[in-house]
Amino acid sequence: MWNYIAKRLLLISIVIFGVTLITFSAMYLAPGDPAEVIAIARYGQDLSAEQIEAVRETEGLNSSVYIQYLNWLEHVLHLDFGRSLISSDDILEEILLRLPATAELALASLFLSLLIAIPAGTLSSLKQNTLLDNACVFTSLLGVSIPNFWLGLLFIWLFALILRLLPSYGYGSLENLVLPALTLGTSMAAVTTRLTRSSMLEVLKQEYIVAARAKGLDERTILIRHALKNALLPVLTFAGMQLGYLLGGTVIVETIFAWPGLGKLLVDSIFSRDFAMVQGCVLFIAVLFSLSNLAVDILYAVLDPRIRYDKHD
Amino acid sequence: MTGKRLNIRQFRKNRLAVLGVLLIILLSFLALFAPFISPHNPLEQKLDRRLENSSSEYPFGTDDLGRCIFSRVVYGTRVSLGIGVLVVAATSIAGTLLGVLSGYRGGLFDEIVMRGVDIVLAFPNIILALVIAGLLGSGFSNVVIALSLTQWPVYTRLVRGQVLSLKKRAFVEAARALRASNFYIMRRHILPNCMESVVVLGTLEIAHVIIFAAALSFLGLGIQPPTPEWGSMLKAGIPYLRSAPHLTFFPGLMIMLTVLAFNFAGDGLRDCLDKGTDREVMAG
Repeated sequence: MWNYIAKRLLLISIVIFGVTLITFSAMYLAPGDPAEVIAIARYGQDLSAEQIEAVRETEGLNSSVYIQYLNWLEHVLHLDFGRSLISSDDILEEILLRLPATAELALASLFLSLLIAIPAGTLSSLKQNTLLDNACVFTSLLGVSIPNFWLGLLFIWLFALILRLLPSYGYGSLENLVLPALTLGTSMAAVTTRLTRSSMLEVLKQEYIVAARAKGLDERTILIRHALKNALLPVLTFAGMQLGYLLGGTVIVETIFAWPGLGKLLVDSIFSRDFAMVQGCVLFIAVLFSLSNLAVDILYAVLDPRIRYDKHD
Repeated sequence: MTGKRLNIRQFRKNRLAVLGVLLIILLSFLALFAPFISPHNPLEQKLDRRLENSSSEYPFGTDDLGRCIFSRVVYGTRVSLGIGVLVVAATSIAGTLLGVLSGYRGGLFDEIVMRGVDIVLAFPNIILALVIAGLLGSGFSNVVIALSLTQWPVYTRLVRGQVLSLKKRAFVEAARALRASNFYIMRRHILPNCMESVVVLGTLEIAHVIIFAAALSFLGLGIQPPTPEWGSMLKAGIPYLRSAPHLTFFPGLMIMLTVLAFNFAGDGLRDCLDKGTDREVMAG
């Protein structure tokens, strides 16, 4: 186990090194001279040559690309992500300021998706091949295919504009959270429902379920203590892996609902061409995602004693 | 040959899969014959006929500039299917070749390719494509570039896994014993046996790519107006959500139907693969 964790940590550091390379070089995808691009972001279109040169000087753009990268990497390793090109705020501070809103939205969506998916999937597996089951399967297929930006707009239209039940955008109260979380949660619930269903069907075929029935245990106990407990393990792991989906989905959902999280910060920074902020956000998200995947894998091994990573590696 | 073969008869029994294929045919038809199907020029503005509801003249109504939404939606199939097919063609070829080489050769090359895969997949979901498209600037080719740069690893990972197990099979050993060259073995024995799962993954990937492309345009980083594209049509409809919801309804419906079609077809194809590959495809 410890060997496995050590090996994964080594691999992750290689990956994160690669992530910093990509994040840094992405800056150079923008057409034009970086100094000029930054100067435009800072001072607007009316520029003097002196202003551009001043930016080149202060941002260290005179030195070679390798030196610039190493300088940047050194700062990042000391958790200094630099300052926003536009507001001059500290980037890491700004990210950490936005993180709670994204975490709140992500956790609420995850919770909602499980709240929908586990009962729906279980019910569907118990009534396999009935009308109810088919309806569940079809709805989840439909749910996978609905783009969440459209779903969000439909929710706003129905719940905020027609029924006037909930606010269409904003942040702060529980009411504000409902629609964004529902938007992100339902499309996730679609996948999780399918997984719960197939996992339950698999477990219900196992001999220990037959044995429990033979012992004369009542169906409720069999369902909850024997079947569901085992069937939910892959479902929960999957939920953990969905963090990536959530982080990606928040970009869109936060933009629709004006939710002041990390995703909106990233999109806004792309539009204002605040490259330093874009770099910071992307790097932060990728590292967070990598570490959470590692945590899920380890947790999986701890929860399921049948899994032994060491043997395979 | 012991490869995974698609069972066409089984596919035909899967009603949802057949529905998916029929929808794909219909959508391709719309894309190919858009000029003949559209009642109006998708770019033609009639400012005295803004935000109209459905009528016989304008089946889906008109948008905020008095353009025919039906015509724009029909032309939109060209953009979305175009991006989907281009990106999937590029990424499936590049990703598969890398996967075959990586799995067959092993060693340092494999190590480098797989770390590359890990690095690209460390950016969750749409994030990397968003940044690349955002920095490159909007437009059709930049969307294709951004999505191609981010979607190839799924094929590489899938194919490499299959090659690792194919490599040990008797027919590969036999070919090697007959002194077949590595190139010959990869081309004649390894590659054909990976094709079916690549086709399945590619079909599902078209659905992904179409959603991602529409999402980029929805955020304003993809295809720009006035080009008729579903994602940017949705964005343009937001201010009129209350007074004219049909502006957002029809483009969204088209995205959903298209994605649904490829998902149905892909799921159906996957179910026709021999047992054993389906898990790997799922993971991809």
